[in-house]
Formats: sequence, C-alpha cells, structure tokens
Amino acid sequence: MSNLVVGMADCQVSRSGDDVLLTYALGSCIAVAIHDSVAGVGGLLHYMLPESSISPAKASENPYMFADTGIPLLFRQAYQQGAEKRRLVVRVAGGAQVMDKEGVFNIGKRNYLALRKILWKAGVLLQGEDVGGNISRTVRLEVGNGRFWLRSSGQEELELKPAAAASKGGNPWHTAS
Amino acid sequence: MTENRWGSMLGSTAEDVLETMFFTSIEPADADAPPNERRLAVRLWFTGIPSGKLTLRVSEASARSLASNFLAAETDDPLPDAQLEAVVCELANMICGALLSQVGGEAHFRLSSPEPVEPGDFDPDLRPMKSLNLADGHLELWLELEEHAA
Amino acid sequence: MAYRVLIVDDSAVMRAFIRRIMLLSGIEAAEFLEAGDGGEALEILRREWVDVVLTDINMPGMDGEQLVRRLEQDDLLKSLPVVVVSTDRTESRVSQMISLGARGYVKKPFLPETLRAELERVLGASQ
Repeated sequence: MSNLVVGMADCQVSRSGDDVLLTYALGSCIAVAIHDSVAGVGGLLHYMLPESSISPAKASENPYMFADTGIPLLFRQAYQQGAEKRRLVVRVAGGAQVMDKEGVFNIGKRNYLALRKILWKAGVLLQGEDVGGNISRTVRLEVGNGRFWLRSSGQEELELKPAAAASKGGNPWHTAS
Repeated sequence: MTENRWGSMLGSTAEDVLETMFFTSIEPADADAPPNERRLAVRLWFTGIPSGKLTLRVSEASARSLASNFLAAETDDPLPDAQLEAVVCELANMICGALLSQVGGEAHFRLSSPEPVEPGDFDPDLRPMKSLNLADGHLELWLELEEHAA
Repeated sequence: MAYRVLIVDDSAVMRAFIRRIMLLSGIEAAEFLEAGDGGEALEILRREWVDVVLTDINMPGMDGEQLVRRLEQDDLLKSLPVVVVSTDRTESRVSQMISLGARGYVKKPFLPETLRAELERVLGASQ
C-alpha cells in the first residue's frame, strides 16, 4: 500500500491500485473523493473556501483552495486518467462548523453549499456524505477498490459506503426533516 | 403563537429551503434593502389553522442566482423573466408549506398557487416579518394571519 | 428496464427539477410525462401506460389526495406505484397518503439523493 497524502488546498488523482489517498484534519474544509471502478481511477481533493472570486490571484496560484476551481479540476484530471463521469462514485466529508482562524463561523456550511451547487449544475449526484457538526475528520480513499473510510476525532474508523447519503433525508444543518 | 415565534420559524424555514434546494446561504444581517434595486414579488394564500397570506419579495439579482441554481443553468445563460418568476413562486410555495407543516395540527392546510404581485403593491407601513440578506441581494417575507393565535 | 414516469405538480420548474434528478440518478427513464394537476394526470393515465407517478398534494383543480383516491378506486390503476412529493410534512398527512395507497413520500425541501433513494426503493419493491 502506498499512501499519498493530500494536504490542505491540494489534490491527488491516481490510477495505481496500490495507492491510498488520504487527507487529515478536515475542519471546515471539504474532502471530495471520486472513484471509477471500471477505469480504476481515484481522486481526492481537499479544499478550504467556497468561491475563488474573493481572490483570483490566489486561485490561479492554487486552484485547489476553492470549490469552484478545485472541483472541476479534480474531475478533469480523473477524466484524463480514463474515468467517465457517469461511472464516478462521489463522496464528501468535512464542512464542520468550527470557528476557524479568520473567525468566520459558517465557512463549513458555505463550503458544502458551494459543493452542492457545483455538482448539481455539473449533473453529478452524491453517493455518500458525512458533513457538518463540529468535529474534525480524516478520510482515505483506496484506489484499488474504491472504498472510502472516515475517522472523526475520538471515534473508530468507519466506511462510507455508496448511497449512504440518502438515509439522513435532509439538510445536514437542520434537524427537522 | 407570538409574532416573535412565527418570525423565528419563518426565518429558519426559509433558510432550510434556500440551503437545501437553492444552495444559497443567508448572510449575517445588515441594513435595510436599498429602495431602488429591481425586485420581484409573489403572494400566496393559505387556509387551515391558521389562514392568511405569505408575500415574498426578492432582489432581481438574487432571483437570477436562485433560479440559475435551482434550474442548474450556466451562470452566463440569461434566464427569461417567466422562469425567474416561476422559481420565485416555487420558493414561496415551499417556504409557506414547510412553515405551516411545523405549526402542525390535525387540520390539513391548503395553499393557493403563488402569483406575482407588483413589487410596490405593499402597505408601506407594514414591515416584513423577516428580512434576509443573500449574497447578491435581499429577500423579505410578510406573513399576515387572519386569526391571532395565542 | 426503462420506466415511463408521470410527474404531477402545478409548478413547471419543480417538474423540471424532479426530471433532472431522475435523469441523473441512473434510473433508466424512457419517457417523462407531465401534468399540472390531478385532473390532467388522470387524462394522461387513461391514454398512456405509466410505470410510476410522482405527485404533489397542493394543486389547483384536483389535488394529490383526490388523485390518489381516484387511482385506488380504478381496477387498472390501483397497482400503479405513487410517490408523493410535498411540502406537507405533518404526520397526519403522511400517514393519510400512505393509507390511501401512496407507496412513498418525499418532503420538500429535499436533497436530490433523497428522491433518488425513495424512487429506487419504490421501483425495486414493485418489480
């Protein structure tokens, strides 16, 4: 097994069955994991902010920092490795409501909404999500078999199987459902 | 139920609908909407317990973003006015229905189809029950109830 | 199997939203038919074969509750699976619609994945 660590505002795409893509300490950031089991391609993006319009200079320097520049790039890189949109299983984690160092409180929710808007417009539905709350998450994607594992601070690691999102039935930030 | 309680439920319902189906967050509160921005307004009536009407008014710029999000349109694709109106109507319909559902009770509520109203067709002395800031504009909600429930 | 789906809602943009979800869900839909209220829906059902009906409740003209009652009364149509998609999330309404014969219920506002899951459950069960 070869661990490829994805840092903050970073992305990795791999076609090597031995690779495991992982990223740590997702607070308000969001990890987007995509996998095409036919092409054997997996990708993991860790982005920090919803919109690049606040800093186009930063976005051209590092597009992975923002949802609107990072997510399309993640998908494009996967397509370049042979993945096909209709086969991609997409799962996300993070977007916690934590007070980050800028003192902005709801960046986690805004990151999540940016993701939802981008995926809806791109015509992609989610197959799993673990977002919100106020916990830190660590995730890993096994490129060989597409399994996606999640660990929340202080908890045991659990697998986020495809189509786990629907069971919650509603907006993660509103409990009435 | 007090006006305050209605207002807070209206706010949280609107937030839930805007986030879940329009991928839009509410910005922290600030000053009143500038009077000369272009706006769209719709109104619907409801019967049940209670009965009344809900009016929603939104900046045109916000209506465009909301519609573009809901309809999964490309941002540089200008949508026709009829579609903007249809989306704002559906937004009002969902906020109203979800709000009345929370108030609950055994009596089933009925909603009329929302209809556009002139953005100026308002009693200037009647302040909106809820005023929300969106990224590119404002959204205001008036809830008028026929019975004043305790 | 490719499904023929009837979407009943007085809002054309909501019908488009639902249609998009079904197209993206990988549920193979051969054709979408649309109606603005229960009366139009019944007219369509008299002429066309349909595999599943998604319906709102609050509509001008014949509402969703009346539509489901009428379907249950019809020998040919009573086995047609119906999924309610409505803002009304009160327990009394949900249990009423299920007891009238609806197989599924999705509350507005909803995430696309929620509608997909409910459709998969209902269509899977009716195989």
